[in-house]
Amino acid sequence: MSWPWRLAGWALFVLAGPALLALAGQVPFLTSGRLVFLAITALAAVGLCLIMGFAGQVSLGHAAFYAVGAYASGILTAGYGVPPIVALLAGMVLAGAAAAGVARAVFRVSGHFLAMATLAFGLILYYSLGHFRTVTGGNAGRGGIPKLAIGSWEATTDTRMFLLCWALVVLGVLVARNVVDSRTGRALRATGASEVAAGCCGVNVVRAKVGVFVLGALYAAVAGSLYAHYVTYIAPEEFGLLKSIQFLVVATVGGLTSVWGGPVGAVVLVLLTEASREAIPLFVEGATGPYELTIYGLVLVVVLLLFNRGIAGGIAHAWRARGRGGGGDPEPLAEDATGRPVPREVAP
Amino acid sequence: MTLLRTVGLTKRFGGVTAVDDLSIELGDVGITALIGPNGAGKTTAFNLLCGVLPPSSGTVEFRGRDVTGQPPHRIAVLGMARTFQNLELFGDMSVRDNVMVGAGAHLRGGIVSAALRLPRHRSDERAARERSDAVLERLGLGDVADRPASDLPYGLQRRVELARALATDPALLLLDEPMAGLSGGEAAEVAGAVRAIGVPTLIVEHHVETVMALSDRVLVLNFGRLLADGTPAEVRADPAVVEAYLGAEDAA
Repeated sequence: MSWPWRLAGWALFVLAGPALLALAGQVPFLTSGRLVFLAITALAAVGLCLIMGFAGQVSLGHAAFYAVGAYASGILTAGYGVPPIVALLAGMVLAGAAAAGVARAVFRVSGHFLAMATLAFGLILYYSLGHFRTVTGGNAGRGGIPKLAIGSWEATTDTRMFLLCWALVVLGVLVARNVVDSRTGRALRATGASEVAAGCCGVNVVRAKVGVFVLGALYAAVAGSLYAHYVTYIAPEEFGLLKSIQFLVVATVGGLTSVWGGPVGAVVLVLLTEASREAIPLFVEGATGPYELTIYGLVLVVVLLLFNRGIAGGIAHAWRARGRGGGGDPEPLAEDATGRPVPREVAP
Repeated sequence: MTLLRTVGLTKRFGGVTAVDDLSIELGDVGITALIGPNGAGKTTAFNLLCGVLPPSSGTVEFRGRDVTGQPPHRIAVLGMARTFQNLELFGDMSVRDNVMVGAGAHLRGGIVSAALRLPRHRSDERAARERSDAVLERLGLGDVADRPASDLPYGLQRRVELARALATDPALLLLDEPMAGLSGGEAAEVAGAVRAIGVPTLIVEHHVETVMALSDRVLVLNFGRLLADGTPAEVRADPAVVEAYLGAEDAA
């Protein structure tokens, strides 16, 4: 894509934040409070897209890094009076160290060990949060967490908090794009296509994967920190397996192999679940309770049937196909003569 | 000067000994061919040299260092590059990006400099880009640099693999059947390119006539063992080689 298109894409993305706020003022089912959760989910999902789409590893424990960020912020600010920004950075350091430990231990062996290891890490952390009451507040949770403040600026309203979170989503996507479009990104895409050939080109496959896994965990930590400061109360139930799976669905629906996958998936899923909360009781009398999971499952199936790269991946693919069909590229030279299956696509 | 030395290199897969007590020494000039019938252990030998497979026993010494059991990326950074018999291109990446992966072998900037777009990242990208473009031009791939590698015809894909290997700035090039599936004219082009590159090369090839004409020295493997080692003329005259390999091919 040429630069005017790219610039237009970024402008659209930045402006989507205020546009969502405007929408929340117009429709009954959406509040600016829900938008804060949308942005937090989007941020965590950008990190998960890096881990799953680029390091090629299934993570079933993304909520664990989210928890590390949230509890670091909650405990340090409410318990020790540390400024929120410092606590947020501390959460990133802790989550990064935990991710490096998990990744280093399992990337040496190939296969599905990482999925199992992340699952185990998530479950251990989840039960620990309930168990170590003096530090975490146990299952009752921990309250009294201050609102996020940067110097004298305080995120006292939902609108302020949402705009801050959206700015961080934009920044997060920018950083992800920078990594994908670099030596590390090329090394990871190469590894996805042929691990042997990548190694013989000097790519340290383990180091590249550990690096991206740690980076992805940092996104979750920041998201967790934002959550703690927004809700001002944290308890283990927010950080269980269900949350990890929610992140997984958001990232997959948005598009694992696209840096835009996180925000796209979060917008689509949050808007649909919120709208359905309003709409379903109109059709099914007496229906109450959480529809979220049903909607998540449904959207996941529909999206994967329509575009196997997720929504953002599907759009990127269609855009390139349009470019080719419109004569933008010269004629294809020939077929792949080896008849090898073309490796899974990774859209920048 | 000795570039590569193997001592008693052996690889067993279960009961099969694919490479058997292979001891060779390569100097830092010229083209050496590694030939032998199918299943003689040529590709396995390559995999042992560049670290894709660990040997069952024996050692590999490259540029004066013992690299036995080292991972491929470390051996690659030391200066050994290779191509693959069954192409292992990064299919949906552009030709230039394929070559830039190779050109990145000696760069040190990591994920942090990339994420924050530090000056380190910019200078790394520029260096990789310049090196790649030079190699692409040299191998006549400049016009197709922006196309996905898997879109190219087979002959050009072979050349992209060669370009990717060259971009790592190798001290030794291992070519695993670089002419397989090519027409006579294309094979001659590859031979010319390998000559012109001037990097010490170890080449596995089935086009016996082409490779004999190209090489300064020929190693013959049979059942994993070194059967002969000499100039093309010497090897051609060796009765054991004629019986095991060349004769059989002539009769076919």
